[in-house]
Amino acid sequence: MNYDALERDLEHLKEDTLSKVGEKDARYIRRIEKLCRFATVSGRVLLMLSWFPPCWLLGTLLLALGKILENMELGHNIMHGQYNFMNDPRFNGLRYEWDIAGSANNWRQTHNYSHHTYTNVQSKDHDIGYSVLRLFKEQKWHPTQLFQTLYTVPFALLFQWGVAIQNLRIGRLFLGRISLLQLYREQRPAFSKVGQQLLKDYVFFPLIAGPMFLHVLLGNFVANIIRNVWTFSIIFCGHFTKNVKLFDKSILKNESKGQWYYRQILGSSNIQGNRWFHILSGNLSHQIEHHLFPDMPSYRYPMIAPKVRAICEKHGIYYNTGGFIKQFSQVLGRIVRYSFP
Amino acid sequence: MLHGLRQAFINKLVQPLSKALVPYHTFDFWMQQLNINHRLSSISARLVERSWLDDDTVRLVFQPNTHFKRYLAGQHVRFSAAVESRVLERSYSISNIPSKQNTLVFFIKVQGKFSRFLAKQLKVGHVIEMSEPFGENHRATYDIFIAGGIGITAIWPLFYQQATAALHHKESVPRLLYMSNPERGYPVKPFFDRALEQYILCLNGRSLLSDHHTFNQYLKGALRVISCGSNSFNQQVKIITTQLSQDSGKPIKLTLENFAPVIEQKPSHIAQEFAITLTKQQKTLRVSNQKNLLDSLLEQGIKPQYGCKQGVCHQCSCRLKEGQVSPQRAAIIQPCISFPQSDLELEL
Repeated sequence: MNYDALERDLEHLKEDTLSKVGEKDARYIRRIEKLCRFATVSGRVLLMLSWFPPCWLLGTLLLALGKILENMELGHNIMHGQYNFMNDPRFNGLRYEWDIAGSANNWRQTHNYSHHTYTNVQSKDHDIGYSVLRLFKEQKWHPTQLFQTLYTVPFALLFQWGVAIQNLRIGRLFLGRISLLQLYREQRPAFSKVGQQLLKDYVFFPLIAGPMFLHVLLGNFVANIIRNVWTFSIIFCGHFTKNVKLFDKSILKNESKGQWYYRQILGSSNIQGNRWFHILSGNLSHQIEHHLFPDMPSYRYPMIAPKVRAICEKHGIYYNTGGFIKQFSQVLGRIVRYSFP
Repeated sequence: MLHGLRQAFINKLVQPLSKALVPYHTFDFWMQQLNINHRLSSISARLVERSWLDDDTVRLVFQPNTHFKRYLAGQHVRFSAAVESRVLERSYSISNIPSKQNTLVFFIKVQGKFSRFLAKQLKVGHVIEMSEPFGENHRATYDIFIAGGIGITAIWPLFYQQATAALHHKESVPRLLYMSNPERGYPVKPFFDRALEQYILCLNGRSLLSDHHTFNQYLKGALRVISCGSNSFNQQVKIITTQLSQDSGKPIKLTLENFAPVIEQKPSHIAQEFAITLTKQQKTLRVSNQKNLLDSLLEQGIKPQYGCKQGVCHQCSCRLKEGQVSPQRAAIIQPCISFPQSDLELEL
């Protein structure tokens, strides 16, 4: 493998693409923002009218759509700094706070730094099974993992809470190394964010709905669940399909940029789908392109995907892609297979 | 007492609650969509009046929102709006003096992308983002006010304030030399206060700046002069006043205000990152040489004092203790137009 040549090809593609970034990307993300905000507001209004059952259903779906767009295409991508070029405070990666239990600051640390720098490197990338699931044979097996197929279900349903506590090192609490009060003091902004989300979805909006309190509360709960399952599916399909590789820490020693690119490709997998599928996934269906160029506007990923694939073919690198059902069944296969030693 | 309770209620309950329920970007998004002149914590302003004074000079009147408190004569504000793909920012001098109506008047010469947007695309009734007022608090008084072309916008409120006070107290009234190209006329002249007309001289700037002898006649006896115009205009005024000081033996204290950017620095072609240490805040950050220092600091959540973001107002000036920036003329640099060329230590 000629890593230098791979680096040159990918750098050339990056420079060429970034030179075109401008008005189209800005228009795209502003449209997504508009769609997201209108879906959220319509969802919340319809939920308040849910004495008429179809309103509850439609309201819940619209709220879920708003939350999915907000988390995936807006929050995730804006926080990567993809739209910083717009110089707009609303799209500034360091200022953005998203509609999810985990705080943006913790996400920037765990995801933007740890996950994107150490993609699929064992014990460095904490997204590998989120310290809950065993997904590769190289990971140490524990008898509790015999039940991981079962507990994957609540994990997926409550995925946002898993992400919210990811950076809190909550294990210290169970090992008695830290008290709950100490943890709260240390992680006050993260707890505050959790409180804000609970207040918003389960107190404020149900209360202002008056007699529709329970309908709104349930609608908000279901919308959060739909968003959680969707994000879980997209993220797991992006890194834990059959042919994705896990790397040992030793690979980081003297790793060149070309080798880093190589690791990003082998550590990620794409999902094929139509335009709306890509939008709803925040273009993380182009996980390979995202991992190669995390700060490139997501609007560009579908355009560069064929070029990245051609570069992979030229260098003899496996380009991992497939439909959602194929990729998701491979993820499930991993969860089941590695629940055993 | 009631005001204090109301403020405490807003600060302690309403603001944290609204922040929790509707983040600022969501709130501001809806305010923009509905064209409401309010933001969660920032300033916006509604364009209430537009009139063209000539082919390329426009008078705009804005009504700021309630976050805008008060300003001083001679201060400026920075407008920002999405023009094409990017949000552009540009500073303009407020041309009226503070009043109860709290409206802001601007005379703008249409010469760039942003001024074209303000003059032609922004519709009357629309709302735009605006900064806090910034700029020097001009406590000094002057004998002569010199305005070069559209420089009148910054000079007029200062002159008006001092001249009306002098008339009121029956003191010596300063003079305003409004210098422009007579072929183009004096577009702002119709807005001058009639009571002050006798103290204002509309002059041919081009011929006067090359005729030092005549210009000296207007400056005779003046000890404190302020000039506002383009950089080249101000430099010419400086040469003339320096010469006059030497000839007459009476030093003239000259204050210069450039209304256009002094220099527009371009970043290096090769992208690099440098470490920047802020000595007062004891922080070290990584910054790119593709962005000016001020933008890099703001992007990383550091909020130094700043104003025009064009290298004009010097609000962001700070001491460079170590390292090199471009351009670098002295130890005091303007982060808004400086690009890092090495690791830096800034007194911030």
